[in-house]
Amino acid sequence: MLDAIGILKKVIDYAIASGASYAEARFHNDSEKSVTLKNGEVEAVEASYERGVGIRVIVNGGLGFASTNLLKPETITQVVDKAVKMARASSSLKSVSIRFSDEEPYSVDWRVFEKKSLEDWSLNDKVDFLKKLDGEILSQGVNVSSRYLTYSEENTERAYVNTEGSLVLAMVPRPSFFALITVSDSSKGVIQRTLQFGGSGGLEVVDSWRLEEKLKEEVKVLHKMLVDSVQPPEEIMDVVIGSEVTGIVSHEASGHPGEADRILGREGAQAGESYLKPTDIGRKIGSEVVNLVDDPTLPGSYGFYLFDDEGVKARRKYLIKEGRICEFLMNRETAANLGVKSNGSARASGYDVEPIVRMSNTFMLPGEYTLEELLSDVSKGVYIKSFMEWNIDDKRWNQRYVGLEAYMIEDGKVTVPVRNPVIEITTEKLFSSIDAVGRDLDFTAATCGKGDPMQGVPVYTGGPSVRMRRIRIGRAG
Amino acid sequence: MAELHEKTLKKLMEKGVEEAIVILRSVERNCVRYANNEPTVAFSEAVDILTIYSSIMERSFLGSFENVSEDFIEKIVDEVVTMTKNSPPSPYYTPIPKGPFSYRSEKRVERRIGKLDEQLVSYVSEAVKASREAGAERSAGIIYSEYQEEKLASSTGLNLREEASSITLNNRAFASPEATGQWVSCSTALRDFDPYDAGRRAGEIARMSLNPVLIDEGTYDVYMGPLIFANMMSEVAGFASGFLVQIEMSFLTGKLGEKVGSEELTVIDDPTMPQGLGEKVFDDEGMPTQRTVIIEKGLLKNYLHNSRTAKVAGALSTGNAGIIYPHPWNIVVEPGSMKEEDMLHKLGRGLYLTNCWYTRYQNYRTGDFSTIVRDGAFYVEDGEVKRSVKGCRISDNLQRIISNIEALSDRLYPIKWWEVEVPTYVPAAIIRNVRITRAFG
Repeated sequence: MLDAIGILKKVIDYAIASGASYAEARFHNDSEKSVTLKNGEVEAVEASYERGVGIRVIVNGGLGFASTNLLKPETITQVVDKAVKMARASSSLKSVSIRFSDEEPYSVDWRVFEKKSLEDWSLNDKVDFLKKLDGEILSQGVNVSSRYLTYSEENTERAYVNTEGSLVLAMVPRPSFFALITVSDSSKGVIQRTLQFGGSGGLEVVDSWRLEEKLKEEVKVLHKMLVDSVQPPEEIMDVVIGSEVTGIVSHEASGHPGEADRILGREGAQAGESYLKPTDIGRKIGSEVVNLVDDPTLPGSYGFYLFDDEGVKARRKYLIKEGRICEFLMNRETAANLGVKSNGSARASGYDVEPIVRMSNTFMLPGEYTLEELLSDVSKGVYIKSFMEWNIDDKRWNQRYVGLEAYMIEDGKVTVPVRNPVIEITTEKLFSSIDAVGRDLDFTAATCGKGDPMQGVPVYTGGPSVRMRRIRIGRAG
Repeated sequence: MAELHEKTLKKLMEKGVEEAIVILRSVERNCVRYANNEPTVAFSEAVDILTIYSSIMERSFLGSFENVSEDFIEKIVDEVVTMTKNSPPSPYYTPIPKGPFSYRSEKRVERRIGKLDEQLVSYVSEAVKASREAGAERSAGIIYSEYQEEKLASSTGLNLREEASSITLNNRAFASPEATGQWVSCSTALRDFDPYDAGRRAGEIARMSLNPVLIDEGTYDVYMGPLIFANMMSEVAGFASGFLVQIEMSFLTGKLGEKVGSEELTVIDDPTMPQGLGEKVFDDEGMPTQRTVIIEKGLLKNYLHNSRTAKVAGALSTGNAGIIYPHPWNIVVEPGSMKEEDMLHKLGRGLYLTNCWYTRYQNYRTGDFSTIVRDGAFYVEDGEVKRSVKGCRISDNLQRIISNIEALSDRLYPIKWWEVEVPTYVPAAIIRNVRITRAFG
């Protein structure tokens, strides 16, 4: 890594000498190793190693980015030349120069330590682990027609320098697990579930997932939903959603629209813009019990980081406080546009992409109610514990969540399973209909996609169980 | 003198690997992103990526390495040999194809496209100008120019080389925050690349989209323009991957030989298309690629296979490796006979939809899904656009959608952008009885 720092410093010096007013350089040494089991047998043992440098410059008010994994001095010099040339060319069409917010430079080395080393877990151990899980899935007396299980270990090692004196070193190991399970019944058809687990740390993170127990439970639930579920009533009812659904709502309807680059139009052609305007801080968007944050500093989380990819110190951000928009997610460019400081939300998925505004761990804060208390006050409604299909428009206003594990609530009690109840609702209606928030808090690992070139970054979505009053439930299909 | 990938292969074999394929990809790519009519960032990339597949006694390993240089070969080879030896034997193991094969040799590549850099800014300027002239206030988009060289050497004696280049622009025009239009220009030949046309068409759709209104939920006949139809068709062809079929992550699982779509629909993976955006001579196993009919007049004819998925299926490889995951290269939907200008009349009453995004599945095996309509959606009556509409979602089933195709236009458009990653050549389509939903509140 020390070699890398020397190279990076030379790179930014060369960029300044070439006409840049600002330069930063980031070195990544990233790896991912995975094992995939297809229907009980090993399909693939794979590994990828990504190692390269990304350079970002401001020249004449234009922003340029260049990357290479050809780490010879002459190649890197050519890449800097290209970044400067492209930035200068794009500046010719700019009416307003790119600026970055003023930030304190840090010299810091942060890393996530493995309490139980992943290195000690051999490839054979991993294969045995997956085969055991596969066996448990098959042993539930349910017709599981196909299984696809993948265990992965990513490790990212990064060095970042900029011309303002920042030097940030980081290392994060991240194990993850993905499953697609299909349960069949000769008369009822098929039902499917995708599951993702992830975190930062070592083998202790994998242990914490309790995969054996969870997969066995999921298979039984899938069978029950397939065989026993009935169509939900199509009417306006009270709805209680579980943590998994609260998590995706938090991510899609609060996190994404709160990204300042979307608000300012920078993602307009791809992921889209936002229902929020720069002047919407303080706007009422939900009931007073809604408090929602993005927090990269949660230990062990999948979206964990302590300094972002612009060298800015990470912190918890309140996106919604007591039902009102509180803060946007910002990097240095959008913060400068909005006349404030960055809140450390810049992330780059690899050395070969620019850092852009991203979420980390986005979740609704828990309240005071037990699940039983949330349910007890519902005379007729639906409890949606998990989901498969979802989507939201590119302003993050019109969204749909289709339940997977779901039940009727009758006189305060969970009763019969219901098949794929649909919530299709606007963001304001959704957040405004929440009248009570549970005290339970759980997280789901996900890979959030944004940007062009596409950047997938690890995140948590999360929250407690939540009760919504009088919203429309529809049927799928 | 042996090149890097050849040296890597030689060392692997010397260290006891029984079979190996080594691919060296060199990519040069330049790009300008823009928003609010101005560039937001310009970037440039130059990378070499070494992909290695190896096997010993039915134990196999697939690796991708970016620290590619002479100094690292020893380290990479040692890592590959160790990983291969430590891998368990797999029943999915298949010997790599031996050949001899014959390959098409007539592929034409414009190398200069990959060298375009500053010129991209002027293309952006053209697209933005055209959108404004057509009635948009502002545009956002992205332009890529790319050149790629791929070299493959295998333990079965294959030694192959292929180049590719392309230029693609995606322009999204805004006539108001709610009135947007999108169009693309994608080509492997600079003479066919037309940023002005992409900007103009996007701007025209945006202008038509002004003052949209909400519509009732229900079942509508739909005229799908090329962008949204390309999205549907890339989903359909993607689900033909033998890998997805075998893990039941596809509505085409178990339906080979069955009717899955309308007689109007023929979908082909055609990497042999001259100067196609996804033209490809050989796959990741060194097999010659081929034109594979996936759906012919509504009948599911073939899945897309590599050697591994072909073995499971008792079929032959269709030259679509991905060593683990077979995938389409260049999707082509056969055109119909209708003139585009007659499509609205044919529709009569219904919706004219231009684009969609965020397609997600409740159940891949059944094809139950929804997708958000965006960038120009219109209510049509008596064959004429009556008003712009908003807030629509297609909430339906993919097999039902393709079974209800009634007519296709006679012109193909090349489509490749953020939502359609595999190049897809499609006409416009009329589809009956599409379920449309919208948000409550």
